[in-house]
Amino acid sequence: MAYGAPALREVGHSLLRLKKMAPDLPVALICDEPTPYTGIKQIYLKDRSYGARWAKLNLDTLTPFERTLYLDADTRVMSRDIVQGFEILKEGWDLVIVPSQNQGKDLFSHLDRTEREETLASLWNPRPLQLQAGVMWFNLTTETLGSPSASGTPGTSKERVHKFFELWRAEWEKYERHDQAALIRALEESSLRIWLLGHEYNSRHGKVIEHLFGRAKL
Amino acid sequence: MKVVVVCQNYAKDRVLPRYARYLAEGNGWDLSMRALVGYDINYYMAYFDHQKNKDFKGRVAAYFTHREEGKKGDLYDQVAEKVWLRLAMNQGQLRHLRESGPSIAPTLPLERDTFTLRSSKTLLKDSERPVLGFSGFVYGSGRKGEHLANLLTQEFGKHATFRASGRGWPCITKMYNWIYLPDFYKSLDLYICTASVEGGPMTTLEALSTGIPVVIPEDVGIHPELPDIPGIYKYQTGNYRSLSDAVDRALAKLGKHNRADLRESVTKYSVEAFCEETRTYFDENLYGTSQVQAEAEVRPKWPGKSGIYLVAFGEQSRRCAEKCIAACRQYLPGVPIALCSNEPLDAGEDLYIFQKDKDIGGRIAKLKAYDLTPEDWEYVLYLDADTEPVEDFSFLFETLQKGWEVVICKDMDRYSVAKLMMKGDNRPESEATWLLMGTDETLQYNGGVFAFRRNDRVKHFFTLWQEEWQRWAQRDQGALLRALYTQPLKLFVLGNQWNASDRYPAPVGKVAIWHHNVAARRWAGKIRGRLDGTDAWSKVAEWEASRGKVSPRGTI
Repeated sequence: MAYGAPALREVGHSLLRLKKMAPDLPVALICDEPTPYTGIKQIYLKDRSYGARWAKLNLDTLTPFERTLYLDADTRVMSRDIVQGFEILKEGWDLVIVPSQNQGKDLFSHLDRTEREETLASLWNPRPLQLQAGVMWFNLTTETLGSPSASGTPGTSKERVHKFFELWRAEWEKYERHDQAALIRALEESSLRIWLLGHEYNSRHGKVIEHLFGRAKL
Repeated sequence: MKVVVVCQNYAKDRVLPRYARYLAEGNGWDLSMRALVGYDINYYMAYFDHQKNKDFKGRVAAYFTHREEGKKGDLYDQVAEKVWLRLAMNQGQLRHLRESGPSIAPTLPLERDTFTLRSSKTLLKDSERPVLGFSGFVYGSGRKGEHLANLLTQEFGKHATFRASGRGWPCITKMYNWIYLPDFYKSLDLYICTASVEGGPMTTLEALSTGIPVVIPEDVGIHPELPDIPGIYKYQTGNYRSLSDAVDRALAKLGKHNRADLRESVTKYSVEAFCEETRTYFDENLYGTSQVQAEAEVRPKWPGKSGIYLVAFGEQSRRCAEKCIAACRQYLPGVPIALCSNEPLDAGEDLYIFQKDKDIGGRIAKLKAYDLTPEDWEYVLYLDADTEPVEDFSFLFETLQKGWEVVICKDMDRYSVAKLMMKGDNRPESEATWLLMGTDETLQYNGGVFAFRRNDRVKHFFTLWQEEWQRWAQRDQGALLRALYTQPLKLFVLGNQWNASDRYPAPVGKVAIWHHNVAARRWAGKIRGRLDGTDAWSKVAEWEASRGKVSPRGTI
């Protein structure tokens, strides 16, 4: 996503790395004005929300792909191993994501006090595992892989992921700021098939995906 | 599912604005005059609204009322190609629309409570002239068949009175407010449709709902879908001779039609059906299958349908199990406990499950948790014998009841990801695990505390876990990852507070279950081979012979 000059600049750097490491992967960019980048699909969406969160929370309806890797603008793909996320989705997992490095006493420390306190009070899991939503793979296929039989199979990845995003949007709309606490609140209700990767896939010095937190901020 | 119904004039009392309001009210959807972002679906109540929202990039469904020839027909086709889903007024449109993609014709929304049965007091008397009526808005295209109406008024005008609602008919025509439209139909003895192209028309349904006989063109709109019963006279579309004959036949039977039967013929048309079919159609296409169906999976409440499963072989493990059972009793009284061992423990367990002592770590019995626990335990919590709950842990069962299939903790930070699983004795297994997953940078889970609920997928997962463990028969974590990877589950991952090892730094936050790792172990040092092999049992014998001299804790 590219909203504002810093994000637009960061997307340029990010695209260079991505094209180097995974030249065959098609790329779509969500933006509110034409960008100078070529060879990618540009999806226009006006988003005046804080940090363009609304665009991110609508990825399930905006993405042109059945299996999508979402990358924050300030990420850098450092290894061809990013394709493994897609392989995991192909096994039948709905969402592949990485836990945040902020856990325990740092849980939701980036939130304002009201949202943090109300979130911790509302969660039914009193000790949640915080996830970092700046890098995530999600599955919108209707295949029912990984199931020994159809009996008792509640829907498809597409169904579950759409439902999850719907919940995520609803939770985000309660405060309209950050997305991570909303993500945890939504996940509690969504019962997704989530595969968790290690920090090399999303951290400041990640060997697969480097996340230069904050560089895309306006 | 967030849907906005897009309709230029949604506040008005025309057909499509009413449809838009039905959907908004019936399904809780929003209304807008133009396309909006932030919705799962923008539903254009008129397909030509696509022209007014050309730049909109979101997911669009459109309602196709009818197809005319010429430029309008071209637009109809173009929009059909561009939108995500197509909805039509009648089944006849679907043959064409389905060439462009998924299409349905939801049942038309007839307001049956508005168009009620005509009172018998208003029925025609023999001495009176019959009243024949037309309804609708006549446009320049001629599709409403106004020329046929003109011929009818000339032929039948001497013996009958013609009235019309709407605009442009060759007789006294009045624009009725919506709430008075039923009065118009009830003032008629016969309703006549002369159109050659229509989506419905709603006028036919409204007339029938009031119990009025109708003369209608046979292959227009929904007319082919109406039953052939007395009072519904169909004629060859556009053929005046056929129309005239039909009117003659209808007039000959006036006063003899069964009004209740006529109303009964349109029973299936309702606002509720229209809203529900539209909503279901969107659900199915948005989510792959019906959301309603997916959410219909009913899970019983966990109290009375749950149990705790422990495995304890060997003296150390059995001593640990006694402590664990006591703690379970203290913090979750009322939940039955099953102990799997080769002899009863009599430490308060509710159920003793006999298994032979086949491997030194009790892994075979542990991985049979699904098979060995009572089938009526819908939710099962497995605890290593050397774990110790220190607070109410009903949360684990509640998580399963909410829909998650397996609840487990991530491993301690020291073993957080799969690349850290390699120890001196498990290189082949570690490499096989990484190879299967395509990465060693995936979270590891600690199998000392986990809970599961029963279904086919979870059962299959346990079968895979057993098979994978049998390949090397050492620790069970690699096998757990490999089984999970190939059998995706709704896996709820917890922090270490629910499985906190006392060998490593304690996790931040209040601990709910401690894990006294190694306290249940009956050997010292590494086992280089299978845990069910001769060498492994030799190690057990060795340790038992030197009891009190060598601590397992200090040798791993």
